[in-house]
Amino acid sequence: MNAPETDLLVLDNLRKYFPILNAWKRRTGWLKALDDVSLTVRKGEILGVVGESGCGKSTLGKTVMGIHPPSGGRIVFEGNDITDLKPHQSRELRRDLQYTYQDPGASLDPRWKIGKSLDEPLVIHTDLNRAARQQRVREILAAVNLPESHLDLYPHEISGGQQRRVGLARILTLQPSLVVLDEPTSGLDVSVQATILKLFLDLQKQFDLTYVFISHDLSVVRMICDRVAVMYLGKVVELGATDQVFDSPRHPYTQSLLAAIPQIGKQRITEAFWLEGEPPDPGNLPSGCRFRTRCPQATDACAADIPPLLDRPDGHADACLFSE
Amino acid sequence: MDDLLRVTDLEVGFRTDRGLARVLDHVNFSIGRGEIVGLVGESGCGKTTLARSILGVLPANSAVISSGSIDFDGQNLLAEDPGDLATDVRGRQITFVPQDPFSSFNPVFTIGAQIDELMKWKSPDAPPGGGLRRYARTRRRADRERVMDLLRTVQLPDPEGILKKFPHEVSGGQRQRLMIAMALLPDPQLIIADEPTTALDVTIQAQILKLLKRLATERDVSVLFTTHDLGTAYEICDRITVMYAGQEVESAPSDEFFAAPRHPYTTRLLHSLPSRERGIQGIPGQIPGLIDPPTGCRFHPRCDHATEACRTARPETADIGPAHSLRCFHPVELSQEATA
Amino acid sequence: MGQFFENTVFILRKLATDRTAAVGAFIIMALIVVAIAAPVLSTHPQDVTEFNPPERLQGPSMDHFFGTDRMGSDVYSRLLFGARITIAIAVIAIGVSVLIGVPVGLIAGYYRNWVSDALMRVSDIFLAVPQIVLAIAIAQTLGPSIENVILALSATYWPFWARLVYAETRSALNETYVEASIALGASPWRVMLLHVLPNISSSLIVRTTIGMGGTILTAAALGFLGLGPPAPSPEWGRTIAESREFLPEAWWYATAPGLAIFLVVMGFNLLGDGLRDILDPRTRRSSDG
Repeated sequence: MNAPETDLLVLDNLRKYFPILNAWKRRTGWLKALDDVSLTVRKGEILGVVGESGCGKSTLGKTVMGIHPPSGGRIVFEGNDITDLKPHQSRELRRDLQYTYQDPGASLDPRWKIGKSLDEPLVIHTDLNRAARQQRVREILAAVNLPESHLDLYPHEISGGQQRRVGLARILTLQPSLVVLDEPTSGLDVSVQATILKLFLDLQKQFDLTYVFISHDLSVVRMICDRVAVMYLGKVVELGATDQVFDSPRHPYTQSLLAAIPQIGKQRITEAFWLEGEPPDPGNLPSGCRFRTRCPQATDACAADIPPLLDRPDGHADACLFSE
Repeated sequence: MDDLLRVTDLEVGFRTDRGLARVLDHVNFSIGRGEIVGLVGESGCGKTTLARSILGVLPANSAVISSGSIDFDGQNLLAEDPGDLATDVRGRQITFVPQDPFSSFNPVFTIGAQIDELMKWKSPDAPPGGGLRRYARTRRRADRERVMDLLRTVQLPDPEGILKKFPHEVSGGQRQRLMIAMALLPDPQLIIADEPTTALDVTIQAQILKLLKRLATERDVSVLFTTHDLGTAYEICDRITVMYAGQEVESAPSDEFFAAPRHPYTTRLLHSLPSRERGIQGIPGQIPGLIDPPTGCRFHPRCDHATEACRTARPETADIGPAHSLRCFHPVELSQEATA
Repeated sequence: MGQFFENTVFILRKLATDRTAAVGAFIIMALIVVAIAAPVLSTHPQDVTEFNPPERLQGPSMDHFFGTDRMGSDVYSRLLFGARITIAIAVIAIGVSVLIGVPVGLIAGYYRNWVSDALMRVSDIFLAVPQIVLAIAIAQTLGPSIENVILALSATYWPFWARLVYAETRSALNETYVEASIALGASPWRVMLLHVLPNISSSLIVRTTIGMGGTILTAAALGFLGLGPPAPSPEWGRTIAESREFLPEAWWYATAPGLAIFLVVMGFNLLGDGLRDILDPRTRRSSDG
């Protein structure tokens, strides 16, 4: 319980299993969306969580936020165990721990004007009077570079990129210490994406934020994250500083993931990509290493036990039997 | 001209509550035989509308085609009888790969039944002019053969088994392989692929791109590939055309497009890609509304190079190199690009 | 308050452009005007309580627009006063149903526990019995009067609102903006009253408008069966029942209230359909120009 000062969030063997139900609502198995995930988020950093759909990265964010109750393990935030909080306790916690949806614009009530949506967190969590709240709302709107006239507009009257800004502003009004960003750039055009990413970095500096940045877009993660965790089917398979992971990936899955990103001016993946097959059914996982069914290096040893995520001396951890 | 498809001066609008949205503004566009052409642009740039105009599936109640022609293999698609287009061109000579392969299957029939239905009408052996003729047994057998062949070609595991499955029982990647197979089955001359990999994970996307490129090259089929992702366009396209707010601005062979772009919008778009060297750069300003778009070159309000000329008229298409054409009064100088 | 005014103006403006909805709205406006101004508009206001047997069963004329009834009273005047009863029954019965049904539906929809199940099972029991049968049984037991008709209708109608609100609440809870408010730390009441309720209000208004028509029909049916307000009330259903023995000769006697019921029910249905299109929040703008 006494985490070092720099560790803002500690996940200890966190599990989230969803029951798989048949037509009669009988449980026929478990979907292991998170299986013994251990991670540490350090104060002030941007931790990227990457992987393909179904790897559990979104479940990770929602479990940390208490949207899904965990099936096992511990979540320690700012030194306090927040794994099993009562509803009213977790409502208090939301001030410091915030979550943005894949499309923060969708988190705005379509019937509420922007100003009212931005005011809501303050109404819920503070005793500020109306004038003080309006002051805060105007400050935060300016911080995300939107004009004050937007306060009187409905969400559908502004562009998708602006909706995202408002969604972001809404969670920042409470000045949280940790923000979980769940696919914050998916569906954005590149020119808009760039401005949003810049905004994330500006806000991080301005408000002293720590981000968990969940994304499937590796080129974005590489741009802005300090450390990266790579997930595959509910497991973290590789974890390290961004440069370490991108420049010398150790796990074959990470290697294939990186090889799949189109890189303009480099060799084309249509000529060089080597990974075959698709991920197995997450409700019916292979034994041992979950990547072995697609891994070109797989041997019998891979089928025997689940390889643990091992810390190497350089702080770059991976879960492959064959890495150095 | 040996172009398979040539769109000339096409103007398309949509009637809306607030007036006519000018979605395509006198667009010129072409695809050569066996060429894979990328149609790239941000959301709302008109790339999907252009693809739909070629396919002939614009919503009849709201779309207004006010000028232009679409010449495909010697016939003007806009002048043809819509009934003939439906039976002989659409689905036979021009086929379609959608963005979301799931909603393109009917969930209540097996995949095999849906492919059979397709082959009944659109197989290369089917008689021209459609008509409700008997589906002869010999033809059916030949079609079956062809289907199995192609399913193996698109590397679907267990093709016989997959025909008996329902659409929800196969994965997204497999559904997209099926869509590609179905688009190739009628032996088309042109495949229109509308953001075919947007809904897929990167590793699956890489597999699908590889497959599409290989098949198109092997079978000498032209592909119109719309995407908002410059990276995928780089992977698969021979030539790339960029659109901005309903206007095509530049078209160049793939390598030249990325190495030496000349239109200010193209360069800014390329610079928006996340990159370690350049840092994060966006394009200031917003995409204009199409009800009341900027006059002349629609990019001028966001363009550093814009002058009075850009506001008054739209530049004509200028050829500035082999297969490289541009619509800009003030092209970006190459030296400038190198230092940027 | 400003927003309420803005919304009202917005809805009225949209109504004017939608022809069927405008027709519906016009009919309902007319009904309300008629009910309020009945003493002024009627030609023989005293006929609601007084009889004039010598003039019984006369056909339509300049003096009696819709003829006279078996007591010699003016059918037209009684029709106007009947509108008051119809409106009173419909508005109060629907009001009570909404007041019971909406909170029940909201709570049952928001929580996922035994309270929610219990509330929905109770409403299921009410829904299992055909509505008119239940209403007849209640009205029969309590005796014929306006109050009892209202009671019977409220008791049979609230489960519809409970069901509707329950289903709408469940789907609203899946909306990102509702989940986001919960994630922000909003209390259940805040979420229910400020996010869920306003966003389901359009379907609620539509359903209530169309429900008005249904309620008026059921009320007329109860009146027809003699379970409504007793004679000499000018209630429409009762008037039709009285006219039966004089058909087909005194055709005006049954036609006038019949047409009135038909028009009013149609008016509510047309308005309801129109509102369904108008109230879609995505078509709304902050400053409609």
